[in-house]
Amino acid sequence: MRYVAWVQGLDIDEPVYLDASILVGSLIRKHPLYGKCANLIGKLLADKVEIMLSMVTVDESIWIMAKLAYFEIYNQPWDAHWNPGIYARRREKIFQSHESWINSVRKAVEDWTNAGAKIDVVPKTRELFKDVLDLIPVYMKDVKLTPADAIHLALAQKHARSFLTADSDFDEVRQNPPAGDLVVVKLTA
Amino acid sequence: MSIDTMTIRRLPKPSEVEEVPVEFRSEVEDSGTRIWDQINKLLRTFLHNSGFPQPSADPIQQSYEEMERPSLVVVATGIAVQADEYEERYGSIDLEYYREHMSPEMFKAFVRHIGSIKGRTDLNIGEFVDALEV
Repeated sequence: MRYVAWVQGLDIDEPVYLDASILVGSLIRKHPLYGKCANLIGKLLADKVEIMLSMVTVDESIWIMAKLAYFEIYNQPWDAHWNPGIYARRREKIFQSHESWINSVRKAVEDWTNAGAKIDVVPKTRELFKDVLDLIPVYMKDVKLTPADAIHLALAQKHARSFLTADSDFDEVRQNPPAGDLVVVKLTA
Repeated sequence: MSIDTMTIRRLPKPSEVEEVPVEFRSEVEDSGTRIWDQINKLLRTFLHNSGFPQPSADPIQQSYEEMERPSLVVVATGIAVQADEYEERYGSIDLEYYREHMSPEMFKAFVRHIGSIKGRTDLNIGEFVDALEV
């Protein structure tokens, strides 16, 4: 496995796997990495690159939007406390005023797909699902990843040639690259 | 010309044509507006003298000016945004490149969604996922 920093013009082998940081980063315009994320998504769509998502990506994206909505409504700083209990208590208010944010990722993926983007969901087969399950504890132990991040990396390793992320938790791959042909492409500010 | 001073003058109906001509014209002076301006001035002066400070600019006039300002920018067919939003969303995006390299449908879908949420500057994208691990 290799780790490279993304720069404009970098050749990215397909298929690519996206985590939530890139997807959501391309939708939030005040975000420090917005320009890079949006340009990266634009390049993938323009080049009709095969894009892989997983339900972990979708789950994380929606969770981020819910958190963002809550912080917007209650004027909280980004490092303020946030957990499922807060979400449960504020869910009604979040949906009342910011339901469009919750739906934004689904709508983007739907529109891009309808316009011809090659977006697929992984794991694709039962065999690949089993392979992914086998890799998760390995990456948790060897690459020191959380379960969700280990799932991302395992899904990418089994289905893609490039894994695009802005999440610094994957920096460990640079120090301690596991076996495999996957290239982890990291977006930085 | 204000709306209340605009009149529609009916022209004599020709007897042997199907279309009825209608001519729009304004009156020589916007007398109605002038009168309301004077009333507004009197009221503001009265309120000011009675101890109710009045804003220096007329908010109604300001909102008219804002409405009249041509600030919408068309990004793609059917997609237009305010000028400041355009700068935030597309200022760092090479739209011409994507317009050339995408189908019109894809370009439209792309620009419709990128940067569609304002968000905030203190976001740390690397910590997005950490928010889940509570």
